Amino acid sequence: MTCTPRQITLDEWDARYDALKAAGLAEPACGGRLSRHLADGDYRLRKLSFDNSPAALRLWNFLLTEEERLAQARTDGRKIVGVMKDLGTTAVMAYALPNVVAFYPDGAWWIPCVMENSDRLLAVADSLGIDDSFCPVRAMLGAFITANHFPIPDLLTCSVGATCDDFSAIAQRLEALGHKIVWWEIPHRRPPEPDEPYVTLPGQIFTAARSQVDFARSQLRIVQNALQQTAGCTLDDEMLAAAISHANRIRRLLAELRRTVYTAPRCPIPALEMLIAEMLAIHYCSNRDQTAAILQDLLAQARTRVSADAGFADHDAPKVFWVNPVADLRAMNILEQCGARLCGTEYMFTHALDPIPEDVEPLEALARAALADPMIGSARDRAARIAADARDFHAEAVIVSRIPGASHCALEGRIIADHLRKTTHLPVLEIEIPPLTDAVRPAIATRIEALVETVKHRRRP
Amino acid sequence: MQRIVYTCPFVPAEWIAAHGLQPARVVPRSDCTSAAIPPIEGLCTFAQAFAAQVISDSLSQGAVFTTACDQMRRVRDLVTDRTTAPTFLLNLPKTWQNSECTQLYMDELRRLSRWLCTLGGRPPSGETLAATMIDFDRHRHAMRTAGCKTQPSCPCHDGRVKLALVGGPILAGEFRLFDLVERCGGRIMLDATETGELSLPDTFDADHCRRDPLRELARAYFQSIPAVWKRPNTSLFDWLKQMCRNRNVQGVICRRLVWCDLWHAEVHRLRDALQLPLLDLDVTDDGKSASERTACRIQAFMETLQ
Repeated sequence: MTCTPRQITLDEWDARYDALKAAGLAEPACGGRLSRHLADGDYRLRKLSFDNSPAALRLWNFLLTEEERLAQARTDGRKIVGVMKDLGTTAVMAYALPNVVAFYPDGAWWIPCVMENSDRLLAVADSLGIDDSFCPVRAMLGAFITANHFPIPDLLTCSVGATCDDFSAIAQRLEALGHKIVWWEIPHRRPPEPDEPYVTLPGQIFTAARSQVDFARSQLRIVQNALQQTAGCTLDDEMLAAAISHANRIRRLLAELRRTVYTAPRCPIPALEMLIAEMLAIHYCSNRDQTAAILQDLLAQARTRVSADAGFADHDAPKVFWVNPVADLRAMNILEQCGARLCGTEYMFTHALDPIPEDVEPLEALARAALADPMIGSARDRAARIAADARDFHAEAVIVSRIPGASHCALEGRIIADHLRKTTHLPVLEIEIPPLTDAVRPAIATRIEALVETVKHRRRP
Repeated sequence: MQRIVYTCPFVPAEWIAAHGLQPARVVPRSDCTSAAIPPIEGLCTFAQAFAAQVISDSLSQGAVFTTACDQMRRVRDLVTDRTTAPTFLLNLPKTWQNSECTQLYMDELRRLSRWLCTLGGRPPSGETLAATMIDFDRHRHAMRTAGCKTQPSCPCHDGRVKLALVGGPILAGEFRLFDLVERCGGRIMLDATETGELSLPDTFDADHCRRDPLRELARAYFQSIPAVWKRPNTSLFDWLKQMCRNRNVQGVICRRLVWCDLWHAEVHRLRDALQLPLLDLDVTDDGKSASERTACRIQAFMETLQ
């Protein structure tokens, strides 16, 4: 059943769902009406605009049922590993084990948004002294206390070192509350000294001293040992290599989806669904095979729309490159409501999108991937990658969205903006996106509209 | 002599001095500003003041930043964008449980050494380093035993509420806090801030200094100084509990800079672990009204303890 691409409300999705079902829509186990998630307290869905494709329906249902998958994994006797902070590397290791499911408790940072604070996770964090001067990831602490959102993991790992203070401090509180954590060190990525052996990292933008790669490998060995102990079986190179290969299949799919969507004359998949799709690469939303299937669906949908010259926004919609994930999903809708379209992103985990090397020993490959994290080097490094990607995707403007309270955002946004203005001459807008934007929506929209006007003005001969 | 400025206690002064350079651990002034570093919302005032000092300090030949906190790690980016002054970022491992981390710290000191040599320093021999370390240790010993603070039974403390001051680094100009506590009838028996006793390295072992001075330096600094940012940071709590007991501390002032997540997150734990009345003093260092608020809160806290 084909249909003109349109962004529709949750209510409209019910009618659309009935039509799709009547037309024979086949769904996986997690399928169903989107509106049923309201019963779980996912009230934010009422304020979002969704892509009306079956691929998007599957994507949303998959995202919103992760808690059920984790609960099922516990029931099935599988080991649950909470991998914190590194965003993309240790999850690959965990999924190499047959009886392990890994997830990022960090993802709890979206719960206050999705549930519109109805679960009071931020209030629980407040009661522990972790107030709104911290990044919204503090919701993770509340999620551990209430134990309502995911099973308490059998193993918790956390990368520290060149990471943000918010997360490190919250993880420390978590440990003090009795949740034992296996800490591992990720060093600040520095430029190699003259004559020092170095390695080019995945993504081909950053390099790291050979000694730093060796060190990161020694730290991942700690994670490997902890995983083996928890799973009660060996995690050898062959298993890791297979997991890397699987991860790369997903990363290649996502890369193709990004290329198709971000370079299409008309945007075939909206910004919000693309944000969710990119997030899947981090830990597969607790199911690797489903993730691959969903990305394939989205890619097929995108290609169909591109070939029909169908999509969202006008052909001349200003192309915006977005930096940092947003605490409120609705922000991505606002971008399009202001007449712009997404043409590229850097959501702090480009290292989870770049293929992991398959021609070196697995831990070496994973160490290189971990060191390619854009957040562990200098802000100028990160800005250089953003500039390169923005050029590749022919961006006309960049939005750097700040995460309220995040220790890195106070400085980094300014450095990135300065660098982009100097090297790409693109207009750059910095905006802060709180977990619920409703009260500040007009201000955010006004600023994005001004950016759109600026881009249009710059196009004039 | 070339002057190298730094502020983090994990930068060993002995290491810089042994290179024939002058180590200068600066405590920036709260009013230290630079046109190059405009006020930025969310930026820690200490990191901002240090950056401003580095940019405006014409007497120093180089500055050492560390990765002890995210803000200091990132503020170095801002400084290198705005000045040609040589800067160095020392990578401090946050974990300490395995030998690779100590090795990383030592490798970082070696890298610092190479940078110091580009500024006119000379790589020290083992003997020179050991002698420098022993000399510095002697001075630190004198400082540790000076005054009567270490003897809480001294009569000069009679009638005063004995307090511990805990928290991040104190800016120059903010040391008036000590006078304020005195005026309110208290006495700071333990300065457990990052500019106080908390950050003193361990005493060096003379034999170890002779055998492997760099390793001994790493032990006394990296392995021994408790820090809020270490993961886990159990050594900080062990140290605080012991010191509060030793100094007969009756109350704790936790002074933290707004936007310092590391100390802010630990306030609840401090209260639980130390089992003492605790004043959570968030300071912004942004003017007279802020200092009056601070004074008022300290007065009220002291009244409750008297």
